[in-house]
Amino acid sequence: MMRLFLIMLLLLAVIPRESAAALGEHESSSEKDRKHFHGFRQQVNESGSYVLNIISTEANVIREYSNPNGMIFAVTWRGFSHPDLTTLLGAHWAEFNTQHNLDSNRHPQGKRILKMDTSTIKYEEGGRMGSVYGRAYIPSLVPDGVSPEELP
Amino acid sequence: MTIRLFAAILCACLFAACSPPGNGTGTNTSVAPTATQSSAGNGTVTTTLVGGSNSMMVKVSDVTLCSASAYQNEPCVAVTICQHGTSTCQTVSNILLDTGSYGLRVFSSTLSGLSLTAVNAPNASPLGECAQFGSGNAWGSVVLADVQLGGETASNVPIQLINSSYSTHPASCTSPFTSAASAGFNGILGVGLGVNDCPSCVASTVANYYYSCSGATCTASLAPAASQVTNPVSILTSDNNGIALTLPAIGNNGANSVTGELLLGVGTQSNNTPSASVKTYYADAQFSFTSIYNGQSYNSSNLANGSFLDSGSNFFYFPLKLTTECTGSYYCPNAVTAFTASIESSTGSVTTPINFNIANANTLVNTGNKVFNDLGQQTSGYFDWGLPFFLGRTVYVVMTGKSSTLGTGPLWGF
Repeated sequence: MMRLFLIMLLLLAVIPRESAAALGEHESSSEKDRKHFHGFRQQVNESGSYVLNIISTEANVIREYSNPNGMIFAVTWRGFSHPDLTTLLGAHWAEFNTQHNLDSNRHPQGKRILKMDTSTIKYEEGGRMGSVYGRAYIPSLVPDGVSPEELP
Repeated sequence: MTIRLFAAILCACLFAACSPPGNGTGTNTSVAPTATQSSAGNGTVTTTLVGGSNSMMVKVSDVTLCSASAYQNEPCVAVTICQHGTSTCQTVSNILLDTGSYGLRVFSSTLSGLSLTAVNAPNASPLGECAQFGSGNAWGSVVLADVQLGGETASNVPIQLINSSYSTHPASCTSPFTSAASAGFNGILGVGLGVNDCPSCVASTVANYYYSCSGATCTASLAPAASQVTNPVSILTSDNNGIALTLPAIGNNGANSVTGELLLGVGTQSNNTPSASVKTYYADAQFSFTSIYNGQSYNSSNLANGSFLDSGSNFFYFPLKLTTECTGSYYCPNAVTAFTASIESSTGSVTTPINFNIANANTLVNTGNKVFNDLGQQTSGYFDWGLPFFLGRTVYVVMTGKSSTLGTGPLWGF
């Protein structure tokens, strides 16, 4: 993972951008994430396999990964608090919320991380108070050769 | 102390579903918990309590001090909550003992007959909070109470009343805990490295944490340190620098429940003074130390959430790559599998190899036992040494900025 990050740093092309979008949307279709999260944004071109938009806020760093078609196939975050998932998951929020409520009686019951699948997304969150992380991705949109579980 | 503890348990039973122990088959007693001590079988494993006014009984997944539906590796205590300056009090059991958070939170539904004063935001409207755990959010108001821990009292401490119906929880406070029954606990006692739960909220409205709530409308707010939900141990008149948590060792097949002890203070009394063999592991500003596994370091500086000890995490949550996983990425090896990872002070001053086992999660749960030292789930990029780590150890927690015989916090000792 660190190696991947270093490669990305080498390929870093910082382009000030004004737009961002939610999971499953086109990365150029909306400005709502950056504005919603009151962050600033960088774009990293990852050798043709995906484009990474990084939104840095006081509370966390959100990474949005879009495939060569410009569709955001994965979002990850780390920081003090979780981002507003109603914005970040976009149209997938409702199915996430429904599944989240269904999963409250998991067996065995791991209480401090949550991993679950809906019909279209895979979701994971965890960490502890003051230092949390999460990721969500749409398997059908993941580019060939990219391991969504390995994305920082 | 014995009488006080008995009274505490009696009180706890009054407020929890008291029923006979489950499938326990006996009692094993251990005197001085050590890392190597073990006990086979399904019974209740007990640490001999040293007692004292700074002592609280801790039970893991116990039907009385937790609840009849206690989940796996759930450490519970009872606390007494009082209207400030009065003897109008209520004892609440099934409080999750959590070294991974800071401050006391109780479901408002578990309290009755207490009139607790609301804490206001700087704009004079009541203060609400979305407290975020690794997974799960606690939404509710902030109020003042006197909190009795064992025989000691934290006076006028801000606590959170968990209530998903308080005002209107922001949509961004995702799926907050709705009931004690569904959460599995009546409240959470956060006794970790922090004094307050959101230091950065003092100067900025960190997204999705503290709110000013007027009627049905809540807006993001600053929260001065004195208004924030506060680790009650930090404002005791003595024994206020941290805690020591002792839980007994158990065997690879688990136990039905275990009994241990929480001592308030570190090195403040003879009963909580670490022995010379206890080492100090400093945490950094993000409250992380370093775990080293397979040559990889996991700390807060390498795009990860670092490493921490968390009694409120009921599993080992590790980034180990095992080929045998059950649904949900629980570790399910065919046989109990031994691992070694090192815990290193964030200062690099001490590095200690830690041996631990991972067993098949489904097999363990199907034993009917509730307490396990070898239950794990795969996570991403960080080491969460959960409750299994605490079994067979005394772990010392010294809060940030507090001095102790182990050094000045934030630090862990074991």
